[in-house]
Amino acid sequence: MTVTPQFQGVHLFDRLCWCKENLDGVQSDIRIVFEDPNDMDAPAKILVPDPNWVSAAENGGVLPPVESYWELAKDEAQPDFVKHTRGYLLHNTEPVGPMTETTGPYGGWVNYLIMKDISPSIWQKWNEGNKPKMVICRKDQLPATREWRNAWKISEELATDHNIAA
Amino acid sequence: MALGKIKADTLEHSTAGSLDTQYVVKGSAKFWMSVSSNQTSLDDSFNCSSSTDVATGQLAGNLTNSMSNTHYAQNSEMMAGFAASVNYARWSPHTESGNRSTSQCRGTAGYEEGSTTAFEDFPYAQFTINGDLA
Repeated sequence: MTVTPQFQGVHLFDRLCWCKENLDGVQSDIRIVFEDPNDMDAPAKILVPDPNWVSAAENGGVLPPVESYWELAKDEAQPDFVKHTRGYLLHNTEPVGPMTETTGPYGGWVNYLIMKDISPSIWQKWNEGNKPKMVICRKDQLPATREWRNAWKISEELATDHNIAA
Repeated sequence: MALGKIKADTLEHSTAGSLDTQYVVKGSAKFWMSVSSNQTSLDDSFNCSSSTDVATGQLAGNLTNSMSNTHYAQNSEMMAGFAASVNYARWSPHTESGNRSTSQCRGTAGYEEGSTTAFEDFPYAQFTINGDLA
C-alpha cells in the first residue's frame, strides 16, 4: 500500500491528481442495481465503481467523509441555489481511512459509494416493500447481453434480507 | 508527483509572450471518463467515482469533486461499433442539461424518426467537463 500524504486541507482535486500519479486503478466487479421508487416505470439502473476511485478508497486518506457530499446536496436542493459556497467541506474535513469492499469506515467502500452516488430515498428504504429497491451483486450476475435493457427490473423473487441478484 | 509547490501567477516564454496561470487552472478539464462495452465497463477516468447505466442509450457520470454550479460545459462523445446493424447516419449523441447536477453529468445517444425519439446503446463513450470546481 502506498503511503498517502497528510491531505486534510489539501484541495480534493489535487489529491486526485496525486492518486492518478501514484496509485494503480482497481477494477471491481461489484455492481449496484437500484430502482427509483419515484419512477417505477423506469428500468433498473446499474452503478459501476470507477477503478481510480476504488484505489483511492482502498488506499485511504484521500476521500472526504460522505457526510460532506450530503451537506453539498442539501445546499444544491435549495430553490435559490446558485453555486456551492461550502466546497471546503470536501477539502478541509479529515479524509476517510482505508476501506475494503466491506470493511473500514462506513462498513466499506461499497456502502460509502452507495451513500454518495445513489439517492437517499433509495438506500435509506432499500428493503421496504415487497422486494428490495437495491441489490449489490457481481458483474457476472447481470444479464449477459443488453437485450430488453429497458425492461430490466430487480427480481420480485428476491427477499429483502438477501443480498444477491437473481 | 512530488508534493512540493511552485507558485506562479504567470508563465513566460522567452519569445512567445506570457500566460496567466489562471488560464491553466480555469481552463483545464475537471472531469473525464471513458466507458465501453455498451455502458457496462468504466475503463479510465479522472475525478469520477462511478458511472450509472441508466437505461438503453442513457449514461451518467458521478463526480468525486463536485463542480461549483451546474453551468459547466460538458462534451459527450459516443462512438458506435460499425459492425452493428444500426443506421449510424441518424444516430446522435446528446449532452443532457436538464438532469445534470453539480455531482452528476448525463448523456444520451439515439435518433429521431418522424415524431419518435429512440435511444440506442453505444459501445464506447467519453465525457469531459470544463468549468469551476466546488
